[in-house]
Amino acid sequence: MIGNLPYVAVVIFIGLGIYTLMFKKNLIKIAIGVVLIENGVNLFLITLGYKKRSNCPDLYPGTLRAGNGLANSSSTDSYQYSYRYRNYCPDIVGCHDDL
Amino acid sequence: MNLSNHIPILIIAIPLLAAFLVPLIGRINKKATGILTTLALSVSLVLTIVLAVKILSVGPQVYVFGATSPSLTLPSGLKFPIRIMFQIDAMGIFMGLITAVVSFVGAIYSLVFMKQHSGLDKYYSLLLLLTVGVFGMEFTGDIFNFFVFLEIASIASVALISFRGIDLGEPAEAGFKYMVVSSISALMVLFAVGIFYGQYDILNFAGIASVIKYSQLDKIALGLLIPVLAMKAGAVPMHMWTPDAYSEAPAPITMMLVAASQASLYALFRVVFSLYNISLNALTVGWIIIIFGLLSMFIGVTMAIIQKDIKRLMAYHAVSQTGYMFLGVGVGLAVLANPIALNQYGITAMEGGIFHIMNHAMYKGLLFLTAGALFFRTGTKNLDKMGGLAHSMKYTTIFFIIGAAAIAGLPPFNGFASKLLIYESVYRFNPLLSIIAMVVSILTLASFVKVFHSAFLGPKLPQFKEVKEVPRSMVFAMAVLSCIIIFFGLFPDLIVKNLVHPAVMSLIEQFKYTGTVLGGM
Repeated sequence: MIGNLPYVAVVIFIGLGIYTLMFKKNLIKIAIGVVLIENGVNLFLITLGYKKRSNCPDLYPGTLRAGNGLANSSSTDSYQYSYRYRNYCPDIVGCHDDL
Repeated sequence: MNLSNHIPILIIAIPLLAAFLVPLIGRINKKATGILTTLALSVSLVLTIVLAVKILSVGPQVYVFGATSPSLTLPSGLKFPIRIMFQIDAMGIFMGLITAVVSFVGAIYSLVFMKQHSGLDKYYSLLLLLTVGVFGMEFTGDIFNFFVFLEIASIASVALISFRGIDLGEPAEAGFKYMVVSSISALMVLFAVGIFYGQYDILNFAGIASVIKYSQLDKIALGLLIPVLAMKAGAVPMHMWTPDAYSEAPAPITMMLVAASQASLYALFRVVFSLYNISLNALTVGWIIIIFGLLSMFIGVTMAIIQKDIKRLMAYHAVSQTGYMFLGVGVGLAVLANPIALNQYGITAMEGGIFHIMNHAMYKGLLFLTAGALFFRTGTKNLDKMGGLAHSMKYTTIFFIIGAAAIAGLPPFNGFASKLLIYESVYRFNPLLSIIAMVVSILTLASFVKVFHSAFLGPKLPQFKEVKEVPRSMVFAMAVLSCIIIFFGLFPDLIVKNLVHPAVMSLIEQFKYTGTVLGGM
């Protein structure tokens, strides 16, 4: 439950931003409203970066558990690394549930 | 290296390179900036036509960035695409052709029209960037990449709308409005991208389309995307920026803005048809789009009739004509889940709506250029102050008549062809919608008769004694658009069969779109 707080903050940011845009006549306030929405969206993207209790995706069956068997192509390597980072997987062997 | 495989990226790369060369060239020779821009855009136009021929004869083209081969969508046996790619099908190249023609004509028109302004290197640089952004929105096969190109197009257009000078007040106001509108829509698109990425871990259109489940979150994403893209396209409840932006921008830029709005419209259709297709509740979403269309048509035209400013009047007509596209495609979407109705009239309705996009870009571009020509010679946009200009501006008068007849849907011109398709097919869906569309068309004619009467007819006014025809390059730009309008009006079957029908089918048949990238066709 407490893990969902950032999403609540996202909704509050965007809601306040849209309220400001709709009901304020001051141009500075309108610009601030746009910035509020922007912050909300950015916070949303950052919050998505962490998934609790999720496993690494197994793009190449068998290669992950071997510990060293990354694919040859360098671009797919970097993709796998970023993919694991997104799922918060600090270890090449497996993921920690408690983080 | 086979260059023909790299055409999709060259269409974008050449104007992009020119955009950054123009300020450098401008340091040496001011005149060369316009010529360089025209050259770059003419190369783009030729490449787009070559690509169109290839796509319509061979099939959809994919261009994958950074891959060993441009057509390698799934490297090393991956199950879904991970690289940024351009995915150009018949619909994408249909929009690409519009952008290529409009930007090329706009650049030619600008050569003389913008001559007396300072800062032309910046003007041409932004014009090229706007073209790049619009091309990118239409060609990309990656939803995050779409957001990036949307931002490029928005930022360039904001600067161009207020180009006439921030001291004047009105251009600055129009620019600010457009900036707020486009930043909100870009942020909401980014939010929707986040929702898709959080659920499916893919950013590719085709990749998302193959796994989309229409969950609660997908509904939220659709609810974010439809209104903001309709807002960028200028549909009615969110149309407040169109009259300001269209009337304050220089005439060639207004023409480009119409093309940029239509790129957002294209993105809306792409999201609804290629991303969701029948997984969404087609009848409900279809009716939502139809209602956007009805409101745009009716409110747009009624607001247009009372305008005194010629460009503002035309801007409201742009809103009204966008309604026809929403109506035609909305009817197609509403019957998407019903194959019998889709074959009977749904496809025809969509053909009308999609064909109208191209027709609208041509005749509305022509009308904005004639308004620009009047402003160029008389220095006013107020219809009450004009009069008797047909005596001294003969070519402009003829071009205006062609544009006005096309927008009102009179027979030998292209507006008639697409409107007739819409009337016939929409009548079978719901007669009332078709009747409203016809009434709006009559009101359109009425308001253009008013413009024609007050600007061109009457005795020669003493204050316009010195007025003469606009320079040759502006006449040429308008003549190109007029020829296209007449050609489309005389041979609509040719265009509908070869260009519009494949575009409509590539929207309806989702598996073809996803199959191009994911294989399994």
